[in-house]
Amino acid sequence: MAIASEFEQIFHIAGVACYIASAVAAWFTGFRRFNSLLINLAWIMFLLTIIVRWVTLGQGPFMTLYEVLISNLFSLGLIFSIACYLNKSVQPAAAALSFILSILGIWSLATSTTPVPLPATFENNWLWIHVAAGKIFLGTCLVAVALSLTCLLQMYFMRLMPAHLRIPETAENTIWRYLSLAFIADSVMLLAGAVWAHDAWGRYWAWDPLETWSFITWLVLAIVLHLRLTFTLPRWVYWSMINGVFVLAFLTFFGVPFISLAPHKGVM
Amino acid sequence: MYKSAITTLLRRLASLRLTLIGMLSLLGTILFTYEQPNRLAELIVYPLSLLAINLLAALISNVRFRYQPWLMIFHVCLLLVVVLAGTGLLLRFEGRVEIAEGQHFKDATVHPVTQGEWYQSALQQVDFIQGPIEVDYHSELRRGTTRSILQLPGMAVTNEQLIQIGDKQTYQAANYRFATTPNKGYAARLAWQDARTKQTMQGFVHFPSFPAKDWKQEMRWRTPRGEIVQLTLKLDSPVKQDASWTLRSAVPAYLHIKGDEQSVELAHGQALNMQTGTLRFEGVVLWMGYQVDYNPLLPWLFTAALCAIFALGMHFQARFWAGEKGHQHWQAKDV
Repeated sequence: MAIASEFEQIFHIAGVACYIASAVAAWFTGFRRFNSLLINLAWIMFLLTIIVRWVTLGQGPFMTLYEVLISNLFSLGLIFSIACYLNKSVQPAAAALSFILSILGIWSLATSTTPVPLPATFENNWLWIHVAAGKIFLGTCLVAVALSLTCLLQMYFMRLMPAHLRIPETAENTIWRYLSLAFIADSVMLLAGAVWAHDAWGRYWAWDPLETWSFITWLVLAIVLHLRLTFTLPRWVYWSMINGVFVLAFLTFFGVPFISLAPHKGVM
Repeated sequence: MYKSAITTLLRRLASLRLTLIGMLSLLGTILFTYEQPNRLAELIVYPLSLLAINLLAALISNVRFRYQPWLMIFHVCLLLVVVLAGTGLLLRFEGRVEIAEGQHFKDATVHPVTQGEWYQSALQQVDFIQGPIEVDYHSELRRGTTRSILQLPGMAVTNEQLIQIGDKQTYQAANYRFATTPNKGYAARLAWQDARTKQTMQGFVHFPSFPAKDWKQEMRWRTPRGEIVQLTLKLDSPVKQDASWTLRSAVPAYLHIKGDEQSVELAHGQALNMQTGTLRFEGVVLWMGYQVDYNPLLPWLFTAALCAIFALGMHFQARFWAGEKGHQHWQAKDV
């Protein structure tokens, strides 16, 4: 148990170090190749952290802030790597993404690793669908955010940005592709979450703080997509709104469940 | 003239600006009533109605839907979700019931928690007999698996014909859903023989939740003739804090009875002669607390939501992911 815990700690620290290194490497043209390698290495380290913890405790990473952080550090890195593989225009966003993940990584080092048992009623197939959809939502949303954040920075600090971090015009469509995917995943997450809650607590929706903020995030995302499909606004407005959606999603994932006193507390 | 006025009205109601206003007012309503969920249930009707009217008008008057079938399916399903969720609230029922081992459901009392205005009880169509209950506990009183056996009426008591429900399995009958809860405990099975009529009655007295309130296994109880006695259940084996164990009914126990004039302790099968009758202690069983839900529209609501997501996925696929066409559309609208 103690050895397993040490391994978990080593993989965890190594994962955070990889994200920080990738955030630094992303700014230097000479280290571009290392950047994607470091992101891949980071999510693999977090995958190992999860595996060791899972085997030791006999339950998935669903209950504590630490577990939610490490599982997202794995899924967010993995989804970004897949997005980079599928679409080269996503790669310049690596600097923004690595920076966000580094902050999450440092935060995870400061959180308590004490486990909380998973109640028997929580463990059903809908939990898996709910959590998986949530990870895809946040991952695809982060790709859109990293791109739009880079676009915003590019707009105002063009001269200061290295050439390899500049985003091509074609990336604009990529932002909306990933945001549309995020909306679908968010909808699946809400639906699966409702079915899961019905089995775990006996009601599918009760406007508890986490449900309310999840719905607000979904609604704001729907408003942003609706605006894009029906109105013509300056690009920076859309980019800013996409960043706003991510801030909301971030607070919903990593804030509300751990500060509210509702049954959802500590459970994703 | 008349037709033109209707067309103008429909177009105005179908306006995309109105959709935006509806969405923003829905957001505003949720934020405004954040601390008052009950008020939200009243106020959310207005922005949802506005959005539903807007959507209905758009479906009738907006020709774009005819060329984008997935978008139309998504919006029709979205409308259905709102209608089904609203109607479900009017039809729903939620209640709690405690049933002891060996007891018929029809003899138990379901206590309503919430019920919609259109709800009409069909609980009389439900019947089962509560069978053995078992709940596993791990060290530090961490609750493990719950197993509750139900025997359906008319079934022979063989293992093959009994159903087991628990943490991951509910019992469903007449659109009601019975789910086990963490609330369970011991019940004393009592027989009362009236001194005057010699008529015998049997029943259960449920003690507080166990092991949550293991230190307070007592209950004030009124006999069929109106005498009030204090019943205390004394269990031989204490609750284990540092080992795994299973909560089940077969435990040695005594029933302590304290009335106005006497105080006695009864073992299994012993009786107490009181002024108005005889009270016999027939043993200890477990009771299980169930949550009872009724919402016949839930499967339809789930299907409509699933269809909406699928249709939107197909629409987005065509819009954002279908190669250059999608690109051209976005480029043309860019500022």
